[in-house]
Parts: sequence; C-alpha cells; structure tokens
Amino acid sequence: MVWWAILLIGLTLLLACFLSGMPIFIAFLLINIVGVLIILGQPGFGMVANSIFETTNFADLSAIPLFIMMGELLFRSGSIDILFDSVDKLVGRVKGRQYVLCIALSTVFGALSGAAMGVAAMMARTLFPGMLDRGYDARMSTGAILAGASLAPIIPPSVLVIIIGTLANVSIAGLLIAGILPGLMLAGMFLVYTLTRVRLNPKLAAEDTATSTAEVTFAEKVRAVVRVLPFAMIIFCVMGLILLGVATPSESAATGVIGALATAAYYRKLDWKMFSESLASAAFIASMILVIMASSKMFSQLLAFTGSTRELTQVVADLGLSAHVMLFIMMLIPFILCMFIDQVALMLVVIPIYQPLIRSLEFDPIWFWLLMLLNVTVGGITPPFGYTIFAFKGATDRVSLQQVFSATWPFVGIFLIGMLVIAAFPPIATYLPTLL
Amino acid sequence: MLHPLIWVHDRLTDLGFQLGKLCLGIILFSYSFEVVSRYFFNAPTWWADEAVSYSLCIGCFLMMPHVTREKGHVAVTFLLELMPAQRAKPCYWLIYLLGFLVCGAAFWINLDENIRQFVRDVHLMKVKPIPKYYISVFITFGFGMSALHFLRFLDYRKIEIDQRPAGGESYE
Repeated sequence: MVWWAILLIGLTLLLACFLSGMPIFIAFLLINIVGVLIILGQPGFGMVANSIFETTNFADLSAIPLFIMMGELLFRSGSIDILFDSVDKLVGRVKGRQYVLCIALSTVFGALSGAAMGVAAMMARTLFPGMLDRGYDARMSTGAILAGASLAPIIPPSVLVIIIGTLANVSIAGLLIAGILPGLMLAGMFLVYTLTRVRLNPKLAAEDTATSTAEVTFAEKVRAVVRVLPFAMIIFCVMGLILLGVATPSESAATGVIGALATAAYYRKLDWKMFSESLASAAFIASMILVIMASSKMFSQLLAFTGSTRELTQVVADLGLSAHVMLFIMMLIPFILCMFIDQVALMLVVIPIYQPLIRSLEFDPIWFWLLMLLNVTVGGITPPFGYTIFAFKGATDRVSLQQVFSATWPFVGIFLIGMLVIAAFPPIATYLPTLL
Repeated sequence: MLHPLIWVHDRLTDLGFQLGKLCLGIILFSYSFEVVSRYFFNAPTWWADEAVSYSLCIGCFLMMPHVTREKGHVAVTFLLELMPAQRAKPCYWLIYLLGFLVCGAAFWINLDENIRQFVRDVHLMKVKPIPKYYISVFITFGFGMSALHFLRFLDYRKIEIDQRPAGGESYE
C-alpha cells in the first residue's frame, strides 16, 4: 500500500475512534495493535509492549503528577483562599475591578497550577457568583474567567508543556520558561480588552459605576503583600530553580510540591486527609494521561516504519510553500481539530508528523511548540468540546452552556491575535530560554 | 453477597490504588532528597532517577484499574451525549466490549513479553541493573485488571446513560 493511503486510513480511523466515544487510550491501542498485525505481523507485538514500557519508564514525565499535586495541595488546603483575599485587596478601585481581579488572580494561579480545569472550576465557584451578584455581565464574566484559566497551561508550571516537550524532544525547561512572557502578554491583552469594553459600555460592570468597593488602607495592602509571600516561595521553587539551573523541571516540580506543603502548613491548613486526597487525585490524573501517552507511542513508530512521515515531509518540501503559509496551515489544522477532540490525543497524533516538517522548514522548536501550546490551550475553550468549558459549567449553573459557548469567542480571538504577535516577534517566546 | 472473584478483583484494584499513591510519594521523596543532597551536601544520589522512573511506571499501571473502575479514562463523548438514551446504551456496551478486547489483547502482548524477558534474563541498563520484568509485570497487571473491569461493565442492565464511559477528569 502506498504511504499516503496508510497515513490517510490510519488518521481517519483514529479520528473516527476518538469521536465514537471510546476511551482515547483504547482508540490508540486498537489502531496500533491492528496496524502492527497488518504491517509487521505477530512478531511486532514485542515493539508494542516495549513502546508502552519506554514511555512510562521515563523520569522526566514525573513532572506531570508532581505539577498536578502542587495545584491539588493548594486548592484542597484552601491556601488559595488567602491568595484570593490578598489579590482582592491589592486591586485598586477601577471600573470593572472584578474583571481585573479575575485576570490578576488567573495569572497568579497560572504560576501555581499546571492545569486550566482546576482554575476554571475554582473561579466558577468563588469569583463568578460575586461578579453576577454585583451586576456584572454574565457573558463577559464567563469569558474572562475561561480565558484567565487558560493561562495556567502557558505560565509555568504546565502539564501540557511536559507532554509537548517530551513528545517533541524539545528542552522542557526551555519550553516552560518560554511560556512566561506570552502568558503575561495575554493577561495584559485580556485586561485591555475587558477594560475597553467596560469603558465603552459601563453596564458591563454595573455596580462599580453605582457603588464602589470599600476603601483599602495602605497598611492593609502591605499586610496583603506579606500574607502572599509564601506563594512567591512556591513560584521560586519552580521557575526560580529552573532559571538558576539548580534543578531540572521534574526536580523543580518536586520542590514546588514541598513548597506547596510548606505553604499549607504555614497557614495551618495541612492535614493528612488533605495530603492523601491530593496524592490520590494527582496519581489518578497522571495515570490517565500516561496510559494515553504509552498507548499512542507505537502510532508514531508505525508512521515512521511505513515511511509515511518521511514521504510527507518530502511532499511538503516539494510544494514550495512559504514558511508563513506552512505555519498557518500547521496551526489551522490543530485549531479546528481541537474543537472536537482531546488536546493531548491530538498532540500525540500531530507531533510525530510535524517534527520532521519543523526541521525541514527550519523553525525554532521552542517558538513553534510554544505556538502549538497556545493553540491547544485555546482548544480548551473552543466549543463544542473543551475541558475548560466543561469544568467551568460543571461548577456553576448560573449560565447556560450556550451562553458559555458564546462568551468564549472574543477571548479566543484575543488568543489568536496573541499567537500572531508571537509568530511575528519570536523573541517574546525565545528570549527567556536563551538565559538558561 | 458479591461473588468472591469480584470481591478479590475489587480488593486488588483498591490495593493498586493505594500503592499507586505510595509510588507518587516515592517520586516526591526521591527528587526532593536528590535536590537537597546535590546542592546542600554536594552528594548526588545514584538511585533517585531510577527510583523515579520505576515508580512512575509501576504507579501508573497500579492506578490504572482504579481509573477504569471509576470510568475516569478520557474520552470524547459529546456525540454519545447527543443521542437518545435508548440508542446510546448499546453504543456504550460496544465500547465496553471493545475496551475488554483491547485491554485483553494488551494484557496478552505484555504477558508474552514478560515471559520472554524472564526466559532471556533481560536486564535494565541502569546504574544498578535489575531484571526488566520486575517493572514491566505491572503493565501486564494494569491491562489485565482493566480488561476485567470492562468485562464487568458489560452487564447491560447496569449501564447507566448519565454515567459517561470516560472523561471525568482532565489535565490541560
């Protein structure tokens, strides 16, 4: 069979399996086992077993459970409530301050949590009801929370970065650090957008125009800063130790967990039950992710074995399209697919195909995979399938799913503008990694 | 009363869950110890990386049967959710059947590999080489136990449509 037929049939069957509703790991295993049987025969099964073993027996991936555990400890212990109160005090009296609070909190949570879902659910339970009660626009509030939560996978720590870095064989430390400036830039863009909308239409933040929040004294603001200092220690344990070259990303994830434990203890919120539940939740989610990664590994090996990826690279090179057009196409495909399928599953399919293309197009790997990270992150808030949306909706019943869907599009647009800016000015992504 | 085999299966799943947590604890301890030992005492350990990679593999597959039992595996279920319950039910049944067959096949493939590794005395090339099957046998355990959970889901009367076959958790 010719290479393009193998590639087309393989990808079509895989996508069909995903959309059928079967667990993603079953879909990968099914295609891989059948593929190996057809292409290599029964002797190839040893390769399937080895691909599963090699994937999960890789210490760098230990950052996944550790980053998840760090967020779990902070959310479950309630330490995050102190951060919430402090940031609330520090945000001044501006029109639409709840939007500012939402985005500021999301940015800080992004530096403490590696997953958007946890942040979205937490903000939906805590901040969102207050925003609605104050007469804030439900659609705009929803969009701000979902967009803000989506900063979590971009600003380190990030579970998605570990997965992309491992699969694409890119420096995980570099990719983690590369997310800092784009994350802050996007937070700034969300702020500018929301405040501009409030200025043009004051009804979007009804109460702030009528009654203002209580005055916070300077002393209270200083106290608020002092109270959040332990969180700065956690951020240092992760980002600081990587930047200083003291620890690898996995080690920094472990020190981040220790920092989260120390913070919970400092606020007298540490107990065995909470620790055990955080362990269980992190191990559960990590197992779920690693089983998918282990089951998918053979797919890329099969593509390589049949020569499909090599031939595809050759065909693309022969097309003679400009690098800009190629970048656009390579970003458009995952953007559309992420509306319908799981981001990790998509990356597991796309990365082995894109890797040789990136080399032939001579793209900077950190820059390209950071753009991909933004792309798949925004996939979490693009309807109809988006985990961040589901997490938010699961935590509140004060808006309909249709409202949530319509709320996300302006912020998806901002994400896309952000991606364009980074595509045009690569140093936004590549400058910090050069300091490592 | 639960059938004794089902009881044993559930207890093994529970045990895997608890040991899976322990593995994560070992990962946390190993790397924390390594960082302190390396940077404060200038004495890097030889065992931390090995303990972490082994614990990750073992913990992942010890936890897997519990994830399967809780229907926690990620799946794209929005098309199934759009279906009327009567049509969705046989689809779920088919998915569980496929889950059983695929996990069963993965169990068999890994068991075959475990036996090969044992017979040929394959060792892992690490600082302290150990037989490979010491670790890889947990992969077989994970798939085998998960296959049995999918088999148990096949009881058509017990399929609840409001329970998604997967997707309760995520990780973005």
